Amino acid sequence: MKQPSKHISNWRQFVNDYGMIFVLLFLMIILSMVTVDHQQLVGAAAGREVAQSINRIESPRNVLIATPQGKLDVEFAQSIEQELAKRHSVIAVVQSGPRQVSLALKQATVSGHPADVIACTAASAKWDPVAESSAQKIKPASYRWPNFLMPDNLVTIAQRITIIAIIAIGMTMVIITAGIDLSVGSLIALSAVVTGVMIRDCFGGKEADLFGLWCSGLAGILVCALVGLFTGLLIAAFRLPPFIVTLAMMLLIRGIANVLSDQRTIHEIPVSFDMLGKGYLFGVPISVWLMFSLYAIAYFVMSRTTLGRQIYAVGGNEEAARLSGVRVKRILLIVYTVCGLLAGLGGVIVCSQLRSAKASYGMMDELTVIAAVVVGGTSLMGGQGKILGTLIGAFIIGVIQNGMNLVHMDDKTQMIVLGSVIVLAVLLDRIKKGEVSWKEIRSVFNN
Amino acid sequence: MILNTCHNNYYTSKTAGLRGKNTTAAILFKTGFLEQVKRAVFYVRIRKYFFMMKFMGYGHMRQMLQFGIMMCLVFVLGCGTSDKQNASSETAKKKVGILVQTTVNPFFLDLAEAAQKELGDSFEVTTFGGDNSADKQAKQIKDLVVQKFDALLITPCNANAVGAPIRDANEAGIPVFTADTACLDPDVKIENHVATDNLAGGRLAGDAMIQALDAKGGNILVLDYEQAESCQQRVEGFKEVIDRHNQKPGNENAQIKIVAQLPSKAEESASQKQTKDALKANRDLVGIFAINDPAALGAVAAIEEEKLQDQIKVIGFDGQKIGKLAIRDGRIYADPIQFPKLMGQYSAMYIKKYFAGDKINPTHLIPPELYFQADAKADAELSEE
Repeated sequence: MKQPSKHISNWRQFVNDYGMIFVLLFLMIILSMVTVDHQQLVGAAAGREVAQSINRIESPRNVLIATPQGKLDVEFAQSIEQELAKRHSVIAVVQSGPRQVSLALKQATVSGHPADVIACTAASAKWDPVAESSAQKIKPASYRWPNFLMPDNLVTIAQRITIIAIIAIGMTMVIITAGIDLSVGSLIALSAVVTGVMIRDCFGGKEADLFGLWCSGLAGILVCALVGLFTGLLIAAFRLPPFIVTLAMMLLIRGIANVLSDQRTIHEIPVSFDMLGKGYLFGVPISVWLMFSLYAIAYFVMSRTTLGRQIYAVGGNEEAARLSGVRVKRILLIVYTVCGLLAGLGGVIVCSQLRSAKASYGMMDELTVIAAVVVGGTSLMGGQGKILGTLIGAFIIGVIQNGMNLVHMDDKTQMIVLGSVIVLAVLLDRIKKGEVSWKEIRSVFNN
Repeated sequence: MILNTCHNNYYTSKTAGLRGKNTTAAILFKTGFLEQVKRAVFYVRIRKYFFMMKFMGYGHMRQMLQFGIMMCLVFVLGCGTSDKQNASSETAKKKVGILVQTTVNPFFLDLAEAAQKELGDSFEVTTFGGDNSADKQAKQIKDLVVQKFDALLITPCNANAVGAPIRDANEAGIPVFTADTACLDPDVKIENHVATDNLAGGRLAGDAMIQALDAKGGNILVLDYEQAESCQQRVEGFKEVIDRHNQKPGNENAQIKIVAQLPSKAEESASQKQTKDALKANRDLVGIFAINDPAALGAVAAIEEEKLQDQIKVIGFDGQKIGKLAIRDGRIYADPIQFPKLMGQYSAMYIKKYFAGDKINPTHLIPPELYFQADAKADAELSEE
């Protein structure tokens, strides 16, 4: 079997399965290039640098530290105070807004020790009292680096797609079986509302403990899994078309969410619930860890287990799958339940991120999820598709949305761009896989 | 892939001269990135590119198509990168993000434009529309926080859900200003909130309704929008005045009865359907109060279909241009009007004051005013139509 072309065929296989990763990389490169901007050091490191440059001044100085009241700004001010040489004296540390700085400057002048040096961050350097002051202003040095590639921003991108990406796992499985699930957007709302209502009514709202939060979250997920199971039943047992069933479920579930929430925002949710959506573990949000681990599990299931092979088999040819002993109906039940369950999980995460629940959450998200799956190379005809491709698809959508905000594109243009990029990405995927031929394109016009 | 990008750089650089300074290529030039890439790639470009294509088994046609699509992507992205991008490299300008509820409603556009105008040249202003989605707005706020904007002016899509992203901004030390809808989250720090006094506006609407019914009373319909705090307050103020009217001695025969209160979604088509249903149930309606102009116009459409325009008086809210035109033509009786431009101007003024180190009020309520047909006829803004 050893042939000289083996290396090449591996490469081709990779391009076939994960070709979209090139589009993702391409977008990232372009965005990195167009978002190059001045960046400042922040936090303790910046403070040390500013302190050092003040220390280079030989004669004693009165130093005023002016920063906004962000978390990193506090570290910045503390490290300046620690590192500053003894001959200089800190006359005031102002950690709020321009008004307080202006007052502090005046007070310093009145008390006979006017500020000679103002240590400020990039943000506070722009405040009028600082800019107009005659004192010497020292701020952290700036360097050029793309806004897009700032670690903060990359984390934000991962965070913004978690919900879409998690639901897209279930959607990929459903689409591989040649089905579709339009109800996931509504399930996000249902799960968020169920979780919110449970916390509010059963566990005492803002005073809810960790146990209560777990129960409520699991209840939200469980309800959605049951709805998914019901949808699967309708599709498998009555052979109804998935499109119609899930379209009906979409309306039905949105209605239930509206009834449950009484059309109001549920905001009686304790701060500790933020942990799921906004908590960090080793510098990466917990929800992002969750997303990656779910993808690892899904990858294993889809590529290494019987269940995974059977899902592909059902989508490829249902009849053939049935004849070769696959229990098609059970597979359908499983995929729709999983899809509902993951949508429920997505809803709980949204609820945690916004620390409130409302029946209008997740509106149109089903379409974004489907777009992520399709951009990721899964065929709507079923039988084809890769879980990791979907992750790439979700990242492409996230990168485009984030990138458009970074280059300050207005939202009308954003819609046009997002639409075009999805079309082009899918087209490109086709071309990469070699499924587009010049002959075929010409035949459209010749017929 | 790496090679594809290099190729693009090569081509975009050639077109840079033609397309002026707004192109992606111009920015690439400015950043100096392109020069480096070009130099590094120059020697290997042609040979390696073709080798790669052969390696991947590409035909000539596919190569062309793929390249074309890549170019389109570059072009689309390039178009969105306007002058603002170049301006952002000047560190002296303060970056202000205006995040409005939606750009579909002219109310918010007026507000944002007025704020931008008032802020002037020393600020670099960017406006984002949130599509009425709390989740989308949260992501937009997050994106601006990461970019370290100097101030944010937000008209929240959801009074509660906006709390979480505003907290992120607080943590990053970015001052937040709100307009129109207030943030109800108690743990956030808002520098200033500018809004219409909706309760007072609701009372004005009630007065207008009593006046419209000519002290005769009758059955009326309220089209509400419970999702927005502001609209709840309008209905509250309205009911307050109607109740007071009903209890006043001498008004026993001029009772005004709210026979139905229906959700209007604050837009035309939904409120048109709701009004039609209400008209089927109550043929004797004499008045409708709708919480904003689109909802009022929906009601008017339903009334006109049923040919009941002489019997039923409609009171709207907002004073958007479409609403004012309808008042001029006698389709809507009166509106308590809001002043979105004033709202934007005040917000901008407070942002400026904040940076200047002046003291600012935490809230600023703008009283609405009643606007009748006579006002509309004298309105210069409407004269050209």
